[in-house]
Order: sequence, then C-alpha cells, then structure tokens
Amino acid sequence: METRLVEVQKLKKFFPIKGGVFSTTVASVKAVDEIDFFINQGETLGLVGESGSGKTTAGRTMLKLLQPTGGKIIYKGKDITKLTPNEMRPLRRNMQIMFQDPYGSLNPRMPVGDIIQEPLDVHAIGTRKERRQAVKAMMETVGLRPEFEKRYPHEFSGGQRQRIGVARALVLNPELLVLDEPISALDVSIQSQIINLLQEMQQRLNLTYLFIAHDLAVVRHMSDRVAVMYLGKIVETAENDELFDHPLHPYTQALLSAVPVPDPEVKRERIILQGDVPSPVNPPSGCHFRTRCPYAMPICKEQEPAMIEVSPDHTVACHLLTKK
Amino acid sequence: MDNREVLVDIKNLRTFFYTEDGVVPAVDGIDLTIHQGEVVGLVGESGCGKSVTALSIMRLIPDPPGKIVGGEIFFHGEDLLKKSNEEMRLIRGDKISMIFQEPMTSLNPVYTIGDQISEAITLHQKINAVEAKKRTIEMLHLVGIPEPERRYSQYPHEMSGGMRQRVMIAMALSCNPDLLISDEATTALDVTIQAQILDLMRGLQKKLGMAILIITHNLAVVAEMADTINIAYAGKIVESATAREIFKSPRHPYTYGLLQSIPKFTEKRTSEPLPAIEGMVPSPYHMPKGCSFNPRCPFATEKCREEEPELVELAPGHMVRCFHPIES
Repeated sequence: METRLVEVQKLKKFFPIKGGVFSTTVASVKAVDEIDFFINQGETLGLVGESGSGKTTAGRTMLKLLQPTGGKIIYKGKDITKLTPNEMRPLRRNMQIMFQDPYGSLNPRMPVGDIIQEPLDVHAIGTRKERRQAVKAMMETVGLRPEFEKRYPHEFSGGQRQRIGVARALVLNPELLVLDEPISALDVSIQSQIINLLQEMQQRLNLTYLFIAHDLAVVRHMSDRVAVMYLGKIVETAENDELFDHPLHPYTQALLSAVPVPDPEVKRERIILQGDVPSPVNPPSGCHFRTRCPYAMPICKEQEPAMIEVSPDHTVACHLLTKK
Repeated sequence: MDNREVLVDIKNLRTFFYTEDGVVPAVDGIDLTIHQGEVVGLVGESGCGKSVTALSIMRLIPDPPGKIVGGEIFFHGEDLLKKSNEEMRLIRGDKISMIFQEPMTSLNPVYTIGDQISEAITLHQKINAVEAKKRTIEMLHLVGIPEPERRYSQYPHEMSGGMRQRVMIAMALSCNPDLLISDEATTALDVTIQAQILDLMRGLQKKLGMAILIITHNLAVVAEMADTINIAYAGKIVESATAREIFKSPRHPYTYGLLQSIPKFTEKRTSEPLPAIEGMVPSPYHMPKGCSFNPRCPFATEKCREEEPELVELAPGHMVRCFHPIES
C-alpha cells in the first residue's frame, strides 16, 4: 500500500494589495485558491501551469515557506498548518527546495563547500569534521569534484551550479524535495544531465518530489502523477500516461495541444486558445477558465465546477463532465 | 525549393569580440542560405553565435568591442558588409526587420504603440501622418489585436506579453520586409501564447510571402515552423539540411545527441535515463583545437583533436561538418 507523505486540503494563499491613506487591504491576489493534492512516498507529482497559475506559490506554501491563508497541510499524517517556526524547524530537515535560477540562488561570496554545508550547520548535525566529510561525499554523488569545495559559484557553469543546488538540497537527507523549474534556465544539452541526476537521486535515496515546471515534455518524463493548475485552481489530476493520453479538461487539452513537437512529420490538431490569462486579483466568476474555454456554457459563469473523480485517480473540475 | 531565388547568402561570416580578457570568436564560420519566402531555422545553445549572426546581418554589432572580421552577407545579391551606415539605415526596418525575445525592452515605454509603429512606417515610406495611422491600425488588425483603434493609443505596459509580441510583429511587418528575423521571439511566452504567436507567424508568412529566419534553442519550434534547419555549435554551422532530413537522419554527432537528449512528449514514460551529451559548451576563450565538439563527442579520434573539419555536402542539400558523420 502506498503511503501518503504529504497532502494539502483546500489550500489557499492570498497576497494582500495595500492601498489608500491607511494602507488598508483593498484587494488580494488569489494566487492559490483552495487546491487539493497529495504526494505518495517515493513518487513524483508534476505540477504544471502557465505563468501566474500559482504553481510556485503552491509549492512554497506546502513547505510553509509562505503561511497559508486557509486550508490544511498534512505531513505524514500530522497537521502542520499551525506549527510555529520553532516547531517547524526539526521538520524542515525533511523538506527541501531547489530553485530555478542557478545564478541567483547561490551566495556569490561563499565557497561552494560552505554553501552545501550550511544546512548542516543550521541544524547542528555532527562534528565539524563529519560535516566536511558529508559535503565532500555529497559533491561526489552529484558529479562535482570534491576538490572544488573552495571555489566560488561564479567559477561554475549553469549546469554545475544546479548540481550545487541539488547537493545543498540533499545534504540533510530529506524525504521531500520541491523542484521549482530546476532545469528551465539551462541549455538543452545540459538539461538532460540534470534530469538524469534528479532521477538517479530519487531512486537511490527514495525521495519524494513535487516537480513544478511549464515544460510538459519534461514533466511527462519525470512524473508519476500530474496536476494541472490554471489561475489558482487545480483543474485536473491524473496518473501520467492517463493525463497525457486522455486529457479531459478543456484547458488540459488546449495546453497539451499547444506544445510544439520536435518532429516535422507529426501534424497535430491544435486548439488555439483565444486571449490571455485573466488577472488573479479578479478571476472570472464560476469556472476560472470559462473566458477562454471553447465549450463555455451558461452554468460555467454561475457555478464553480466541483472536482469529480471520473476514474480511479483521475479527477477533473469541469461542468461538461458533471452534466452527464 | 532551390528554384526559388536566393534572398540571403552568408559566406564564412566571422564576427569577433575584442574584450579585456581576450578575443571571443562568437561567430567563426557561419554559412547560411535563405531563399525568398523560405522559413529557415538557426538552432543552437547559448554561446553558439546564433544571435550574433542575426545582429551581423542587421549590421548592429556594437563596435567596439565587436567587429565583423570576415565573410560576406549577400542580400538580393549585394554584400551588406560593403554598405555605408546610411544605406543600412534604409534597409533595416524596411527590407529586413527583426523581433526579439523580450518585447518589453524592445518597445519604448513612453510612447504609445500606435506612435511607435507609425514612426517606422513614415521613416521608410513617403506617406503622411493620417495614412500612416490608417496603415498602423491595419497592421494591428492583421496581427490579431482586438479593438485596434483603441489599442493604438495605449502604452506598452498596458498590454500582456503576448499582445506586446504581436505589436512587435506588426511593427516589423509594417513595411513589407523581404526578411523577418525572429530571435527567440516566443521563448519568454507561455505555451498557449507561444502557440498563438507561432500560428500568427505561419499565417502571415503565407499571406505576405516574406522569408523568416527563426533563431531559437527550441528544436520543437523549428520542427514545426522551418523548411530548412541549420545547427550551430561554438560559432560554426555544423549541420544544415531540410527539417525532415535533420530530424529523420541527423548526421552530425552533436545534432544526433541533441535530438536524443530531449524528452519525447508524445511517447509513454520510461524509467530509462535520457541519453545526455556529456560535458559542456567550451569557453569561447579556450576553444579546443581541431573540431570544437571533439571533447564531448563519443566518436572523436586523434584527427578530430588536430584538424578542423570543413562543411561538406554528404547528400544533396545536406551539409555536415564532421570527419566521422553518422551513417544515414
């Protein structure tokens, strides 16, 4: 039986917009608006969506790097939503995050050995000597030469810097790793190296990944299950092949059909969506996707579609399916 | 394809940058042919010289530190490198125009988009302000901007990324160019917006018949758009053929490795690792001797480490720069 490592229920994260003389909250950006998902131990959940869909905020709120506005986060069966930063600290060892930008996420004034060691220092793990040992072993594991520990980030290429990011995230031996667009800043020939490294690490250390990305080909390659976000909502979740081969939500269908395929002989039926993603400050009433949906009906304006399970582990929020 | 007239013929272009740390041979032997009305892809990773090639065609290389040190760029049979700055000014934006990755930085934030497009038109065509406005609104309509009359007097910040890119395209096409250069024009856009813009470019190309040079790192984008594809690596063209040939029988080990290493969106998931190309792009200050791909190439021999291969035609229209090309 698969065990759930983490689960979020009705998770909400709003960012207030302050205005007026007294700096009162005049509106809020509904970045994440009541989403549900879970991740089983050892699996990868791909979280996809376009910019502004709230996927990064969802990942950070799940780790409580952002305090949720509402909803629950359950980690290993325990509700961690209300924990104070002090109570969170021992848990933080088990949850790490890796960022997109290999340039901005490493301190340029710190040698890479110290960067990778910092999490060990913060959690006061082992003696000084043991920490150094762990750092060197970790550098070796991710494909960096341990004798480079005294070098600074600028001496490394983008791909190597992402390896440093992986080493820093894994040095505490975490259970859960949020990968926030870990390869989108890299060159094509380097991307596959980092994808392979992440998959190898997952198998070797039994890691659980939340893989946030907009590149659907990479998500297909990496994920066991996939959740699709649009304007703060999850619109569809399914097992990998099921989602890519039988997408049911009109947005998922359009998104998948929009991906260019590297084969000139494949001519695909393309659904071109009209217009742009609306503002998350003022999302459309009812279904958030209705303003761009080719199948929008009157009910979509009035009522928000509920998440329904169309087949085991395949859930969709769309009125087209509730009608039947 | 080849019975169409040659529009652009680049021969052994070399553009170097003279920096404090040494000479960077950003473009070091680019050969490229574009026929009239053809869509040509120029693909490569960062540092392969693809953008510098585009800027060289436009003669927009910042000098110093950059300098076009060799080669020829024929456009309609005339060498652009022999043109005076004044003559180039008349060609840029009229016969050749270019769109960039980040439309926000290419548009002037303090002028309305209508003013900016009209400016390009009045600069190159002898028409008055009223006609220019009319033409601008026509162009906005052509690129699919809703309510063009209202949008005419809006500023760039009032538009989304996709809309701004449409404005850039409207501006670039306003003088009916023979060649449109698109430098990573859809890279910064979301997938559904990218699909809109690619669809628009395809439609306009059919309607107006201009040639397009698509510069990108995204193999899927050129697979969908281009008739012929050129693969650049470390400042040189390493392979060039029709899109079909490139994807069906890549002959250069770099092209082959690149195609193998991208995850296939249309295939079922496997747990196999991706076939990755080892190592990384060489530093422009320390180019390897011989073939610049040799340190990463699984087929490299002593010869590759010593001598530099020439671009040779292995099959009709299929050019490869390699001593040990992959069998087709």
